[in-house]
Order: sequence, then C-alpha cells, then structure tokens
Amino acid sequence: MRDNKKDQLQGTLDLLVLRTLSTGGTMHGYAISERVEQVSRETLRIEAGSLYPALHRMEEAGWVKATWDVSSNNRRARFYSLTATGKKRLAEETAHWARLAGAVGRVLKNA
Amino acid sequence: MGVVRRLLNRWHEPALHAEFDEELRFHLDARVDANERAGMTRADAEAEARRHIGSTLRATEGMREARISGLFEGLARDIRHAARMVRRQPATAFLAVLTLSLGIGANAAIFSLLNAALFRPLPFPDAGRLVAVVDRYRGDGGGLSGGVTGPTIPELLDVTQRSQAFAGLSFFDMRDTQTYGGLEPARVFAARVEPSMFSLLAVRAAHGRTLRPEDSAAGADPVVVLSDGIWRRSFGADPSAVGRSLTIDRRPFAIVGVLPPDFSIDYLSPEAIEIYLPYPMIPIYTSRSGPFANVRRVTAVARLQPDVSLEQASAEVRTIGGTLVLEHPEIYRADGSGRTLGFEMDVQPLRDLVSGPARRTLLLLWSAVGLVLLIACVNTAQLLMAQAIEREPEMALRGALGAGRARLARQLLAESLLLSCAAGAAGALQAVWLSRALRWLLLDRLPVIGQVSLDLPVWLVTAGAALGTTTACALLPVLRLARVGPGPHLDGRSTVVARGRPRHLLIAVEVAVSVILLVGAGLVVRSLMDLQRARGGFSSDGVTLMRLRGMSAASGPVGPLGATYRRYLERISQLPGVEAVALTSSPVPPPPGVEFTVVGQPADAAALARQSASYQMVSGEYFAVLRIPLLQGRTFNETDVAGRQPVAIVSAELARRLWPGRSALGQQIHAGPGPRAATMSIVGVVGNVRSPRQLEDAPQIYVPILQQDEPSVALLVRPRPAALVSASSVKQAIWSIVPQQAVFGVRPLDEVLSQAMDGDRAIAILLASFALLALAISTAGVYTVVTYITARRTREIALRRAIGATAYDVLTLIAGPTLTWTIGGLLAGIAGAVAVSGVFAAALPGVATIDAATVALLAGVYLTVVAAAMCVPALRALRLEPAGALRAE
Repeated sequence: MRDNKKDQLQGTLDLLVLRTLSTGGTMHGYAISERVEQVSRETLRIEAGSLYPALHRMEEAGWVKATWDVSSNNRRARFYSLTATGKKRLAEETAHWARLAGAVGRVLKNA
Repeated sequence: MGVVRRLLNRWHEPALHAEFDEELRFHLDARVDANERAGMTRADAEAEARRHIGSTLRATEGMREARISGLFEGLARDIRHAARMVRRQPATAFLAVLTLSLGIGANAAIFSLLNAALFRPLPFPDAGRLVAVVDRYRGDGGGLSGGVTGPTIPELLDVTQRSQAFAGLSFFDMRDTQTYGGLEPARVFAARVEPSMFSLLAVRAAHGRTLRPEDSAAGADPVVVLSDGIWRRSFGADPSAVGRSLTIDRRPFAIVGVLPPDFSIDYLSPEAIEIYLPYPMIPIYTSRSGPFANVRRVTAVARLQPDVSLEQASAEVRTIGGTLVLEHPEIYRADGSGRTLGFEMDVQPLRDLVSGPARRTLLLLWSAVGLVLLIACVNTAQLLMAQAIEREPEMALRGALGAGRARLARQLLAESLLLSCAAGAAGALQAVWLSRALRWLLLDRLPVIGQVSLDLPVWLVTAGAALGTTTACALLPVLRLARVGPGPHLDGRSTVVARGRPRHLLIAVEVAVSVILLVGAGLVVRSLMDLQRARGGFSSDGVTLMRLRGMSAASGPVGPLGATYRRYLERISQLPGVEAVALTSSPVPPPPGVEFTVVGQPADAAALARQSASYQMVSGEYFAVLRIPLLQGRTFNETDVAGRQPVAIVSAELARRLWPGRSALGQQIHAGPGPRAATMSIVGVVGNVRSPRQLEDAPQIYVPILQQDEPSVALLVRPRPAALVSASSVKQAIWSIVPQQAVFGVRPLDEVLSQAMDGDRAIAILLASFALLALAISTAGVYTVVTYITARRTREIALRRAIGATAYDVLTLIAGPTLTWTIGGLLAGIAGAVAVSGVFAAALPGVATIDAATVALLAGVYLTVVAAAMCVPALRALRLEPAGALRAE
C-alpha cells in the first residue's frame, strides 16, 4: 500500500517494530516499546505518538495482525503478531537497512 | 480492499476511538505499574508515565489517519464550509444560481427539441436503416427547381425492379376522405398505403390484420385499417369493429384491422392519419401515360439491405435516375428541347426527411442558448473570483497555517459544486416548463416536436452542463489561487489592488458574446416585422374559410366537379347576410409556383423564355371576397367552365414584367402543372397580393376553378358589413346539393393567415428572449465587477477625494477601465456579428445582412444599460465621506 522508502525515519521505526515482533512473538504495544528501549539500552525511545500510528498503519497494510486478548495483569490489551507478508517485509527492510548502514559506514570511514 | 474497509470504518468511528483510547490507557497503566514496582510513589509513577508516553493526541490522530479514509471526510467538511460561505454572501450566490440555472434550463429545453427532432431514433425497429427515396430537380425546373419532392409511382416501380440495395420499398400519400353516419358528414384524413409498408416498418395489427398486397390489386374488395385514434374515438375501442363496414367517399369499406397505439407515420404527414387505405395499383397510377402519372407524388420509404451503406444505395438510385432521364426524355427534359430539368433520384435518411428544415433552425437556437450559458458561466466565474479575491487573506492565512493548495482548491470546487447542484435543480425546473412552452410555440412549424419529452439523455445533458459549467467557473479562481502567494495578504497590505486584466478580459468576452446575440436577434426580429408588414393587397377581415374535398352530385368520388361547385356558390351566395363567396385551391397563400411561357411574339424576345409564377385556381368572386382590385378586363364568369376557351387573370406585377406599357388583355400564356397545362388568354389584370412571409410582389396567375376538376378546395365567405353568416347555414346549403359533402377546417381567414407566421414569431421571440437574457446577465457581470473594484478601492478613493480629486476623476478611475474594455468587447461583438450574421438567415426568410442602423441602435442600448450598471457603484463611491472611509480599514 504505502511505500515508506521515502520516509527513512518511518521506515526505521517499522523495521524496529517488525524485528521486535519477529523475535518476541505476540506482543502488545507497551511490551514492544519496552523491548526496543531495553535492547537498545535506552538509546531508542519510541513514543506512543509514533508507535501506535505505525502499528495501525502496518495492520492496515497487512504486515501485522492484531487481536484483543487478556494480558498477564488480567487486563484487556491489543496484541500484535507478524503475518507472512510482514515477515517478507522484514527481510526486505533488513536487507535495505544493512545496505544503507554499510554504505553510510563506508562513507564515514573512507570519505 | 483496504481502501474500502477504511471507508467503511467511517461509520464506526466512535467505536474505533474507544479502542484507541483503551489501547493507550493500557500502555499508560502498564508504565505506571512498572514505575510503582520500581519503587516510585503513585503520583511520581503517573507523572513519569505521562511524560514517557508523549502526546496521546498525536497517537490518536495518527491511528485515526491510519484506519479511517479521509477521502470523503474532507469533502463533507468542505461542503459544510461552502454552505457557510454561501450563507454569508447570499446575494452573490443567488445571482450565480439564477444566471446559471437560466442558462442550464434553456439549454436543456432546446436540447429536448433537438433530441426529438434530430437524434432520437424514429419509433420503428432498426429505424437507422430506413431511408426516403426522393426526387430532386436541380435545373431551372420552374416550381420544382432546387427542391426535393417525393417520387412518382412509376419511378418507384422502376427503382424496386432495378435496385439491389433495398430489403423493401414502399410508399404512401395522404388525402381527405369523407365518412357518414354521424351527425354530419365527417372528413377523415387518410393515408393510401402500398401494403408492404406495414412489414417494412415491422408493424402488426393490434386487432385483425394490416393490409396485404392483394388489397391493392385492381378490382379487390375495398378494405380499410383503422388507426388506434379513430378506433377509440369513433368505435369506442370495440374489437368487434373489425369486420364491420365503414362508408368512405360513398363506398363501403370492410374494416380489416386496427393498428397499435404506438404506430404512426404521422411524422411524415401534416396531420394525424386516421385511416389507412390500400393504394390502388391500377394503371392510372402505375403507368407513365395517365393524366396525373408524372404529377402525383408519394412519400417513399425503403429499408436498406443489411450490408448496403447509405452511399451505395444513393449511388445506385442516382444511376437508375440517370437511366430514367435517357429513357423518358419527354418527362425529364423540358419541351422535348433537350434542355435538362436537372432531374435526380436519391436516398436520404428517413430521419432527415422528418426533421427536414427544422435542423438548421434548431441548431441555431441551440447555439444561441449555448452562448447564453457561456455568458452565465463567465459571469459566475467572475462572481466566484471576486469572492475568492475577497477571501485571499483568509486563504493565505489558512495556507500559511498548513492547508495545502490542493485543500484550498478543493474548497473552491466544493463551493462551485454546491452552486451547480442548486443551479442544476433550478435549471431542471425551468427546463420542464420551458419545454412545454416551446412545444406550444413551435408545434406548427416543427411537427416532429410533438414527440418531445424530457427523457434521460436530456437530463444527462442538463446535469453535465450544470457540473461542467460550474467546474469551469471554479477553475479561474483556483488557477489564480495557485499563482497568489500569502505574502501581500499577511503583511497588512491587503488593499493592494488585484490585477484587473483577466477580470476585464472576461467582461469583454461577455459583452462581445451578448452583442453577437443581440445583433442576431435584432436582425431576426426586424425581418419578422418586415414579414408581418409584407402581407397586403387584400383584406381578410370577417372572411371565413371552410375546407372541403369536392364530390360531384352524381355518384362516384371524382367527376366533373365544376358544375357542383357552381351550384354550391349559387346557393351560398343567396344565404341572408352573405356579401360574396368564392372558391380557391390554395386556402393559405402563397400558392405553389409553376412555369409558364408567353405564346406569340412579344416585343421583348426575352419574354419568350420560361417564367415562373404562382398558380392558383379561383372562382370569379375571389377578388371581391378578398377585396383585390380588378385593374383591367373582367373577372371569371359563368362562361369560364370546363370545355370552354381556357382563360386566366394575372397580377399587375406579371403584366408589368411581360408587357410593360401595353395591355396584357388578350395576350396568351401557356401555364399549369402537368395535365392542367394549357394555353390561356388573359382576360383580366388584378392588384398584387402579398401573402404572409412574402416580401416582394411576385407574378401571379389565376385560372377559373370551375374549368378544373380540383377536388381539394376551400370556400371563402364574406358576410355583409355587420351581418353574421353561420357556418351551419353554409353547410346546410351545401348538403342540400350533396348531402355527403364533409365541410371542415372552419376558421376565420385572419386566424389562418396569422397562424402561418406562428413559427416565425416563436423563433423570433425565442432568439430575442435569449438575447435579452444575455444582455441581463452580462449587465449583472459588469455591475459585479465595478462594484467589486469600488469596494476594493474605497480607501484609495477616499484618499484621493481628501486631497482634492473631482467627481470626474473618481468616476474615470472606477469605471474608466471597465468602460474601455466594454467598448472593446462591443466592437469585437459587432465584428463577430457581421461575421456570423449569415447563420441567422436560418431563422426566418428574408433575414437581411447587417445594417448599420440596427447595430448602432443595439450598441447604443447596450452601452446605456452597461453604463447605468457601472454608475450605481461608482456613485456610491462618490458619496463616501473621506474621513470615515479612511478610518474603516
């Protein structure tokens, strides 16, 4: 649906979310943001204002699917998991990111 | 897919929002819990969580944007906004809707005529493959020259035999017949039809059967097929009418069938056809040698073979026509002198035969309303643009606050959409009554518009016109918006005068187009006045016209009619109150034209050439009844009857042309159509008569009707001054001689003559109203512009007045440029009118080329109206009190 290539920041956010879901399985929004924060050692903080629009957008795009379920503290929460399309998308985004990071790295080292 | 779901999501927006909130609240609570677990106080935990989560508003908005399509949401908001703007300037909106709807309504109504006359297929199966076979005389063939006429039956029989192009060919003609049995003998309008017409048009009888080929054979039992109309009127829609007998022209005819209600060949007939008789295929009709063989013309309809094009059929029929000229030089070459009459046979789409001359008139009317719509459009664009400029600061502000150009453009389009819906609805209403009025106005001139209805194509065109025009109207302000940046509006220089050129250019266009319409309509109206004034040389007031199809006193439909007519005239002239009574072959002039030659040795050799004149059969009292002065010689008398020396009376114009300075009496001419041609002595000269629509004196020949066996005649009865002659007393007089004689079409001659011009009057009225509409709309346009300019420059005007500018200076400032452009448009319009004036000749006969007087008059009127429109706001500006105006901004 939407090609995020033109918006690098948004693309990065999508990549982080997709990657987190691919390792963490089914997670709610709070868990995703905590996980990213934790894994990036508090360097990357995702605000709700960015996270939830991204999740809903990816849901509309069919990369993730969402269901209401009961969380560990016995409250209703919206749980997200990766779809097949989402997995393919993750692979593409990862490859793209790796290419980009490699390129930037080479420029920083050699230019 | 997703788009649809996102659109549908709009309907459960509240539920979605509840979900968004719940999801965010869970996030917040989870963070608070985690903070508390880490040892914070409740208050600290909540504060940290709220900081950490950031703007929930942004999150909700983002989720909403992701889940709900914004496609129509914006539009709805725009329309609401537009409605607010319209309410804020009701006068502007009203003016725009009014002008547009007038344009749209007029267009829809005229298009409904056009659709019925030119586009909608005739109501026969596969009507597109139906053609008419016609004769054309291109040479100087006298009365027939240049004209398209129906072919003769022998010609059609040859075409049927020799051509491969047609799957079927049939023909019919129309005549008055009379039936008896009611209160009085009734006239019935009949078609005599070659029986294959019914299969050609694929029509089946509703009851009984249609005609069969054997019904046309010589000696066949006489049969008749009823139209649905007469079946309902005279037979009470009783199916058992089939099998009964109907007496037509004194002979019993067996009713064999009734046609369905939707079948009608009335399109091709001046009146509704009531009964259908088989065309008798007997030698006097089918051979070239009978007395009427080459005069009797029919309407021929053919169906093209499936693989034959119109062009192929035309080529084939032309070839056959060419062969006929070679085979029958005595018919197709004048006097056997070898001079060609330019005879041709051809085919044309049946539709063309039906719409015929109406086509050019209708296209002219349509162009005229198209121009009116154009002006209305330009005007609305002006209004919208004035409004848009008015709102430029607002737009600029909204632009600076982040509304995209597209968003603002959409807003303007939404406003125009609102206007177009209103204008379209109002226009549709106007179309309904206008098309009713048009039908009433034009029915006589264009019989085909009896079929006019406002059907789907008409509504589609109307809706298209409404949407198209308003979108076009919105385009200018939108384009302008694209060019204008926010700068000047936000830094307080909002009184900057907008560049006026495009607005003034629009004014010039409006003025030019309305001037073209005005001048064109002026020409048409003037020619109408000429046509109305033209009628003269006779007096018709008080004269009553009655039509009849003559029957001889002896049995049989046709016989020596002169004797019967003479007895009618004698009996009627003895009725109390009758001053004079006469018979004529042409109740509504002008009579048909014929060729004639002068016999003998005139002084001027050129007079030996063939001449043409109108030809009319009349009885002797005709000139007395119509008060046409007898200038020389005598009128017809009881000696001018069948078998006596043929005589003629000519008009002064004919005498003047052929025998200038000498007496025409005793001269001989050879004249008359077909078998009536005879060498006649001139016994009298009468004054010139101009019938309605006749602009010049034309040569006229009168021959004694009592010498001819003309069945289709009209009685003219002039009562004594202050006396009354009732139609029934005249009828009684006639019935005392021939009881079966039907008398019909009883009307004052004045009314008949006046009605002959109804079509002309209607067209002139329509064109004039369109022109006045254009004038009104363009005046409103000029008024709007000047008002607008004045309003924009209030402060400047006040300033100038304060430092001593005179009223004249201010007027020049305000109205000067507009006046200049108006005059420019006026001149362009006059040039345009000169260029296209020929087009208006399609409206009426005798539409002259442009004359300076008409143009000057109309230009003067136009300029006065426009100047007045300009003065109103300009004078308002002058009354401004400088100090107040300066403080106002």
